[in-house]
Amino acid sequence: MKKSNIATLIVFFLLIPVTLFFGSKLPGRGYYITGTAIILELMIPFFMAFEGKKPQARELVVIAVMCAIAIAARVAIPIPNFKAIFAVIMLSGIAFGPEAGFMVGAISAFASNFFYGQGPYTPWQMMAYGAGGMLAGFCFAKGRLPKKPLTMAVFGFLAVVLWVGPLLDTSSVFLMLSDINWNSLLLTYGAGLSVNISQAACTVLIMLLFGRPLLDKLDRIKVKYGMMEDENGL
Amino acid sequence: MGFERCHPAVNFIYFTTVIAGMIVFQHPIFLLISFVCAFIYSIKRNGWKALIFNAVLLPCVVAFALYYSSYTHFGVTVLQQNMIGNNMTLESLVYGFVLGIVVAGVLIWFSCVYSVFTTDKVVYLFGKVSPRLSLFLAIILRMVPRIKKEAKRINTAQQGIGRGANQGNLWQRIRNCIRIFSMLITWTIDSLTTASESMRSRGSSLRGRKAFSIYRFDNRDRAYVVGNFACLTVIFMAVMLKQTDIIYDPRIIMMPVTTMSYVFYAGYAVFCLMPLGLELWTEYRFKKARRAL
Repeated sequence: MKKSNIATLIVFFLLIPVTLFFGSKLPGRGYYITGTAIILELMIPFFMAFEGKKPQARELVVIAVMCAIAIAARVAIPIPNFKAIFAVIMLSGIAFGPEAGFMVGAISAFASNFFYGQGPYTPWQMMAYGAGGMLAGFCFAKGRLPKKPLTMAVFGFLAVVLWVGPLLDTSSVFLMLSDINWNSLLLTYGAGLSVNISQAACTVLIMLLFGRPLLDKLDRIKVKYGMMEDENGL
Repeated sequence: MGFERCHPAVNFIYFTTVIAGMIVFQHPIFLLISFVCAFIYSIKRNGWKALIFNAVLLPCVVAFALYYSSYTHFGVTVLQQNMIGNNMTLESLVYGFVLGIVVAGVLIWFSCVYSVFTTDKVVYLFGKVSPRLSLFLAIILRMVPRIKKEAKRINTAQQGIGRGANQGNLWQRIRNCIRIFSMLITWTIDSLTTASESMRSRGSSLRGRKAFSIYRFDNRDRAYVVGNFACLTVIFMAVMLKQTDIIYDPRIIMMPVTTMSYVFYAGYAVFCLMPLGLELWTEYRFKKARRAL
C-alpha cells in the first residue's frame, strides 16, 4: 500500500471519529469548529496523494467546480429528500479517485448547509457524504467495477441505502436519543430507511440519465491534462 | 473615493467580520440591523441595479419562509392546519424568515464585496501568504462573471440553429436547457484548467513573486481599524451577556431587552454603517474643499 492510502485509512477510521466524538462534547456552536477541523484533516490524504509533486491550482479548480455542481444539485431540486447531490459526489469519486471524492462530498455538504441551516449534524453529514464519494472511488478504481450507467445506478442505490444513509442515521442516534437500546436503534434506522430509499431513487435516476455524459466530460479532462493520474485507488 | 481606497487588509477584516456577524447572529434585531445597513450600503455602491436586485430578493425571502414552514413543523404555536393535516406553526414560519433574511443579507453584502474588493486586492493580500492560494482565489472569483458571459454566448449560438433556451415547445425547451448546461460544464472545467495552467506557466505561483500594488497602510487605515475593533468589542460584550442568543424551537425564547441592549444595537448599527459613513464623509470633505477653491 502507498503512503497516501495508509493516510486515508488512518484519517477516515481514526482521526475523524475521534474529532466527531470530541466535537459532540463542545458546547454551543462548536459544530463550526468540528466541521472546519474535519475539512483540514481531509486535506492531509488529498495532498499526500500527490507524493512530492504538490497539487496544482488546476486540480483544486476542478474540485471546486465539482463542489459547485454538487451544491447546485442539492439546492436546485425543490423536493425534500430527493436530491441529486449523492450522484454528483459519487461520480466525481469515480472519475478522480477516493480522495477527491471525499473532498467533494465533505466540502459540498458543509457549503450547501449554508442554504439548509448548519447544525450539530453538519460534521456528520460531511463525513457521510465524503464517505459516499470515497466508497465510489474505491469500488470503481482499477476497473474493479465497469463504468456503465446500469452498474453505477445499482451501486448508487446500494451505497445510499446501506452506507451513506445509515451513517447519517447514526448521527441522529447520537444527537437525539437520550438512552440507546436495541428498540430505539431499530426505530431510528427504520424511520431513516424510507428517506434513504427516496434519496437512493433520485441517485439511480441521475446516474441513469446523466451518469455517462458527466463521466465522459470528467474523463476527457483527465486525459487531456493528465491530471490526478493516480489510477491505483486504494 | 471611499471605502475601496482603504488598505485591502482593512477591507478584508471589515467584510469577514460583518458577514460572519450576519451568519452567526439569529437574533431578529441584530439580523434586521445588518440587513438594512447592507441594503442601504449596496444602493450607495451600485445605484439602481442594487435597488432592483434587493427588491427582487425580498419576495424570495417571503416565498422561502412559506416554503420552509410548509414542510418543517416544529414549534408549539399552531397557526392552522394545511390541506394534508400538518400543523403550520409560528415558530417555523419565523425561523424560515430568519433563514431567508440571512441568505439574502449575505448575498447583498457580497454584492458590496464584489464592488469594493477587486481581484488585484485578493492577489495582493494572499500572494504573500501562499502564491498558489492567491492564484486559486483569483481564478475562482472570476469564475461567476465568466460563466455568465459564456452562457449568453452559447445560447446565442444555439439560437442560430434553432436550439435556444426559448425556442420550441416545453419539452424541447427543457432539452435545450439541459444541452446548454452540459456545454457550460465542459467549457467551465476546460477553461478554468487552461487558465490556471497558463497562469502557472507565467510564474504566478512561484515563491517570492511580488504582486503589483499601490497600497500603503496609513493613519486613516489605522483609525478605521481602531473604530472597527471598538465596535467589535461592544458586540462581543453583547455575545457574552447572551444578548444575541435566541431559541426558536420549541418556542421563541430570548433575553429581555434592557437599556444596555440599546447600546449593543447602536454599536452593531455603527459597525454596519461604518463604510457608508466613511464614503459620505469623504464626499462631503471633497465638496467642501472644491467650494473653497
